[in-house]
Amino acid sequence: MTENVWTFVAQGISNTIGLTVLGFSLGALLGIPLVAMRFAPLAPVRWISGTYIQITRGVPLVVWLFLIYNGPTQFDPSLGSVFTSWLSALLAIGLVSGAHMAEIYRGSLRAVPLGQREAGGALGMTQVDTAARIIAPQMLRTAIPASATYAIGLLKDSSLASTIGVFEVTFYANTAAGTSSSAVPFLVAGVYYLALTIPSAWGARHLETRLSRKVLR
Amino acid sequence: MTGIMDDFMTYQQELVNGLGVSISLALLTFALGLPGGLLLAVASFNRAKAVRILAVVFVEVGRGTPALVMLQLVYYGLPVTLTAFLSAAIALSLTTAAYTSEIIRGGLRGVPAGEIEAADALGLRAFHTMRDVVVPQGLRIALPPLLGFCIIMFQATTLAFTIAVPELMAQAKSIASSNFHYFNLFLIAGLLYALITIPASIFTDRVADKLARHT
Repeated sequence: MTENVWTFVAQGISNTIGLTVLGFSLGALLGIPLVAMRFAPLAPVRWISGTYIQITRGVPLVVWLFLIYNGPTQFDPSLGSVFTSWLSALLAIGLVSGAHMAEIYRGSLRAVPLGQREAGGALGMTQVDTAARIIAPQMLRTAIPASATYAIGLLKDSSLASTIGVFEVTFYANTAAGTSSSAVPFLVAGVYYLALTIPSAWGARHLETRLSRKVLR
Repeated sequence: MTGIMDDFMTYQQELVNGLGVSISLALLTFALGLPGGLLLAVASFNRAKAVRILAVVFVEVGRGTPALVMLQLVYYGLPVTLTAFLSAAIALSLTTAAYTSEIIRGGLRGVPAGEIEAADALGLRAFHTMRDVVVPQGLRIALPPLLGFCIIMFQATTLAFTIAVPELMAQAKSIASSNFHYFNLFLIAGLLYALITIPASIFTDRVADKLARHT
């Protein structure tokens, strides 16, 4: 058993990565309209997006997972086959990371000095041009490292999907631990997570230094 | 909507008790984890290389392992038999110590070099410089992100349901599996969590604003 614990738990790696990448992409997309709404001229629009962000970030991911996975079956048991564990996990992670990404975008937008926008206007650029060619590139510089850190955190949070039965690393570790009644499979899972997160963290740090190389402070 | 209210009224006792367990688990986690974080942060400035390396390894392993895996490891892996509640508190404080040490380290590094030079000039020993000059000011800088992290850890107490700690999520789950009102009960649980985390995050923003004003 000790030898094939490694291969057994490794079966979950593709689902862990898939869930993280897709969930993060969903969140990164969802964050864009949310942050745009945060800066809308209409107060109720700003209010809606602010409330959405507060609530999604204020409720634990585990609750979202179960609310989406089990919740619909209260109204119609056949909905259980629509909200499979994989889809529910993806939706829950996308929902929560959308709110977090909106906050990251907002922070990086604030880090761009107001003078940059004014300068764009003074040069006769349209608002869209200023946003796309002056503000966005400067935003990316701070948004990318922050997003990378968040994505690495998400990789670990994806372990929660095991609680609703997604076949990822922690799920296989749980199964193996149950049959062998030892904690070794969790040690194996921990090593796999470290093997995934530590190189990603190095990559993120490298990216950060590269992005800030040509910037005078 | 009335169904949700009814469910809340019927199971109020269990749910509120569950929330109480969640809160005490979070408080025990902070009580064990935050001093641990401070210790690791101070250790990372130690003159002995071995101490620094040990601190870095602990932090990297603690931050790289998901809290859920840590929880199972402590619960099933420790050779001593602990209650589920205590295992959850230990696992969550290990994670807390690893993460907060980085936050506190950032705060300690934010203390101006002039302060340390001044302490040196006054003839303070390294230990006293750290304890009386750097740590008090560094913790002040680190306070807002620390509060933010505490909110995240409070949410992470939901993981304890996997080892049968009777906290809010476990209560909601066990009630829901008996009356099949999954949506109602998880919604109520979510609202109860939000009732604590949202005011807490507003409070954190206030603290951050106030500290920013005075520096």
